[in-house]
Amino acid sequence: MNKSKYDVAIIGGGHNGLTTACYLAKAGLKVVVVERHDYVGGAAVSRELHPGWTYSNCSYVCSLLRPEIFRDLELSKHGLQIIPYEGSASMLNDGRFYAHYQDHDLTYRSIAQFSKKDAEAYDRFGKDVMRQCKIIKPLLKMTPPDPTSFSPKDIMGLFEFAKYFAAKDELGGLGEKEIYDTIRFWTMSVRDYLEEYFESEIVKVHLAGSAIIGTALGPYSPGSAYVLLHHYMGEVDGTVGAWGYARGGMGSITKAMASSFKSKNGEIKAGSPVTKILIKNNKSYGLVLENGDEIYADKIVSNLDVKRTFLKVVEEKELPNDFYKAVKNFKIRGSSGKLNIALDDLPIWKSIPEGDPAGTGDLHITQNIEEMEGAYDDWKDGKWSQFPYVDMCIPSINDPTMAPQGKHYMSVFIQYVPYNLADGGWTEEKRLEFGKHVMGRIGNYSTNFNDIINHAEIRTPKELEAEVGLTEGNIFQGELTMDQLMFNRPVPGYAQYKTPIKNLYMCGSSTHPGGGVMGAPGANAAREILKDLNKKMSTHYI
Amino acid sequence: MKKFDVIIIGGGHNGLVASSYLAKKGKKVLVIEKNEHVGGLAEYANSLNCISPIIKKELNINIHNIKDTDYIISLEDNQNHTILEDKNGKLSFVKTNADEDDQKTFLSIINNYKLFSKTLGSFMYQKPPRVKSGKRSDLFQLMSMGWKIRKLGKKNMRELLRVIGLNIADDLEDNLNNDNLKGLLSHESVLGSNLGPRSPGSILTLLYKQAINENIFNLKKIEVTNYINQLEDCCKKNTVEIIKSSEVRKIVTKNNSVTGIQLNNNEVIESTCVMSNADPKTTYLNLLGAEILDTDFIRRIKNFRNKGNVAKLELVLENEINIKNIDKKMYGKFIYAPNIKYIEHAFNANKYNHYSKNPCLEFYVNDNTLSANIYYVPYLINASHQENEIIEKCVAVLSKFIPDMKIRKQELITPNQMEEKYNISGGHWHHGDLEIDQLLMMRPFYGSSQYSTPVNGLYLCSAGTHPGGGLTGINGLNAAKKIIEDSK
Repeated sequence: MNKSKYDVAIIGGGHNGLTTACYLAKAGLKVVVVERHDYVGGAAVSRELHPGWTYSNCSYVCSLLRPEIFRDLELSKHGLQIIPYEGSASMLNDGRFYAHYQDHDLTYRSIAQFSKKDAEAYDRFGKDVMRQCKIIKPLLKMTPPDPTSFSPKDIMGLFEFAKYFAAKDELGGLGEKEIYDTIRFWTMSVRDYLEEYFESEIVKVHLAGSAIIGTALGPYSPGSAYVLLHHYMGEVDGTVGAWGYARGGMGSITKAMASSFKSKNGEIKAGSPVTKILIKNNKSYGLVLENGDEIYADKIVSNLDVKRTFLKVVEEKELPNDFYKAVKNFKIRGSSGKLNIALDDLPIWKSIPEGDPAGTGDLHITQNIEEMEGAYDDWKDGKWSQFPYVDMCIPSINDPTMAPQGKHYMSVFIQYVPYNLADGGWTEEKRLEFGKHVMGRIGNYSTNFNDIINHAEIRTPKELEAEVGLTEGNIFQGELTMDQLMFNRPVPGYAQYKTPIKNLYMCGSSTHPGGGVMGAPGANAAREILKDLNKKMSTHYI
Repeated sequence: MKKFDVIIIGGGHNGLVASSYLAKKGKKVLVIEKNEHVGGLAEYANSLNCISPIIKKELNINIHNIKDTDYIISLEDNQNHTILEDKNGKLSFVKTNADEDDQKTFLSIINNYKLFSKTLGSFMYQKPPRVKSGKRSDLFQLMSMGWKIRKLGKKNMRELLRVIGLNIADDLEDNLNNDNLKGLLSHESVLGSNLGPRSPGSILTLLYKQAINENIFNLKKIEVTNYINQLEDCCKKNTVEIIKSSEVRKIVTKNNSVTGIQLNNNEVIESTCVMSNADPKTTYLNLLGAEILDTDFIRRIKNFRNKGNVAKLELVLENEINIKNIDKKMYGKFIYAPNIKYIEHAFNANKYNHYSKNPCLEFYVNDNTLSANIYYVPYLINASHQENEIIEKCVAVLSKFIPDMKIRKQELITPNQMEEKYNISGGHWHHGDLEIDQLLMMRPFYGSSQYSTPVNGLYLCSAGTHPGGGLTGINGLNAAKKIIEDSK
């Protein structure tokens, strides 16, 4: 049995685990990342699952990664390139298409085909959502203060929080009106929110997509408008709200992080599943690996979701009752599926002309919000959606490294797919049937799609759970509803990256501010750990 | 021509409460009521016990509970009904198929919710503070609200801050096993709201309604007509003038200040202070007119969510009504919402503007009459429901429990009809959804909360203001206080 000793051991090499690892290594600590698979990356990976093709087989586009982290970790130097894309489109059944472009005037024209009023409203909408992004940005970097605590730290935190809202307008605070608008935005349904701006169904449904991706909410559910932010607050090259592809697939992000980590003398133990966190007298001091090896460390950080951490690798007897129960009741429902498709040629769409920049971005086929809500109704009943919302894109148009010359890789994200089927669980047969159904739906909008499919990887929440280790295959490591945000995430009273066990921390998306390839939970966790060690974090990230 | 200090549009109970208070303070008050009798929507309510004790005391209203003990019966298809007894607010199980653990948990959930709603209830009697007015009094009030929540203690406060964003289905599924009990509590949470059991915010709605009603199961305990008569007497005693069968066409303004009202017969009555007991949308869009309001404000009015989705069915049968498997002395509030899935499916229809094919019901029986609330029957814009079909679906549910129904008379009031009859746009029980962004200082919406409006001298006192619907009368009380404060 091997035994080794580190300052910090991190369980799981996802993008958050690696972010924490980099910051800690940068501060001079001896850090090890322990990863179950032979490769790191968690849900940000590039994998060759079909010879010649590289699949971003979980997360597939990039925008949310905090720019400060990008700089701090010197990800460019370590080989990461983000290629912004030019637009996005929804295809209509009547042969028309609706598109957004980087170019404002083109977008205006596209919306005006459907409604002149909506084209005018789009600017107002954009401004309002951007204001919400601006409001939330400083909150992302904040360790949420505990409103129930009387410790000076939390009271100061709350005070800062209040000050942020209460500052005089000329000092960058929010006006009274903005405060109310913010509360509304955080609690409304996305349908209600969009109806305040738009009348055209296709405009509404195109925009609503961002609010339901990965959630267990429908567009009519209160609280869904907020999720828009999780897809709007990102930026690419300083353009807020823009999206891009990581060159070489999403794995390039984590590959660059791993390389940055190694350059700071960090160590990665791949192929080493952790079976147990060693705890004595309510203090964690090490890990046990599947092969029996033990790793000792002063601080243990878990990148796993909160359920996996406390129900799988920590024993129940080590935890306070209330905490254990809260973890068990943590909402982490899988609702998304994914197809990764190797194509022999570029699909020809019935509506989008070849070469139109809208075709290089994310494409959708949902016709109206009602159809989207109907897809959610199916999911509530434990069925995959008959008319699923799909978010598909073909990164290989912009990034030829993803597929052999002249061929293409297409990523299709599907909402909604339940983790458990009401009619007796997933089988191989049902999985294939599901995939076939989705491809059939897409095929309706293309003249050649059905003939150019070379290989397809079909993933339900089950596969996502099995491969990445996300409980129930929830892509955000826990739902983004008010009861699980800010000081409630993941568990009220434990929202500051700490756990009831001393020296054990959390850094995954189960913690504030939640999911998306953002890195903020990882960076925030690193800051808290360094604070406990009386060390300073060297960063642009304050 | 007579001049009045305050004119109140609408003689609903909030209007009556407000006028009593104003008159007691020496104001000369005129109430104008469209219908032949005052009371407004109060007569529609078939379950209430929530009149504010302060108002009862101060206005000298003498009203007693009809019964000390009441029953809640949650019906199930297999006739294995759950019966709960409510004895002066204390709940216990009479009959249920839930096991002992579940019964205990159920009661403890209710107690927990009661604790939270008490805290919410303590905010009801104040005009809600503005978040950022720069005034010290608002800041002080905000801090005292925060302090009240903190006083719950660490554990309860954490739980409160968690559940206000949660949906009722999740909380019940985390703690209970019995479907019927889950359905029963979900029913109380979603009835009269635009939410399903799985919609986030449904617990808040429950807590809020509980704060208003001071009881989780809103039971019939007082005589509504008696209450309204006493209120009317109280107004008269204080020399409030009430004109009935007279409709206000317009609120007259000059230079952004109220100068009076114009009736349908073109008569103008002057006053520099008008209080509207009509719902906010009717007040602004129909009575005041959009011309004098700015666009952003009009947008906010239009965005106020006030689509009702409960219909009321009154049935008179040929024979006395007997409910299968239930002792007559335990007749009380009957609920048919057998499980969460059933309610959620009923809610699905509502989302797409259809009535529920398998509706949820809450009903009371008295001899050979039956009065039921049916949900979901959404308010429709420019369309109408097939009323006979709705009645059919209801009767189909009822006949599972009432054998051989022979109907002599039937009357259905959909939200659309309610809109027409009581002049409430949207036909919503509470004049607007009780959801987080339409509560407290955000009720009905920014720029119109705290009972005042952008027009000088125009005030609101309807259920569309804080603290919302239910027959509390607090809206009227708070609004009257606001006028008195402003006139100082």
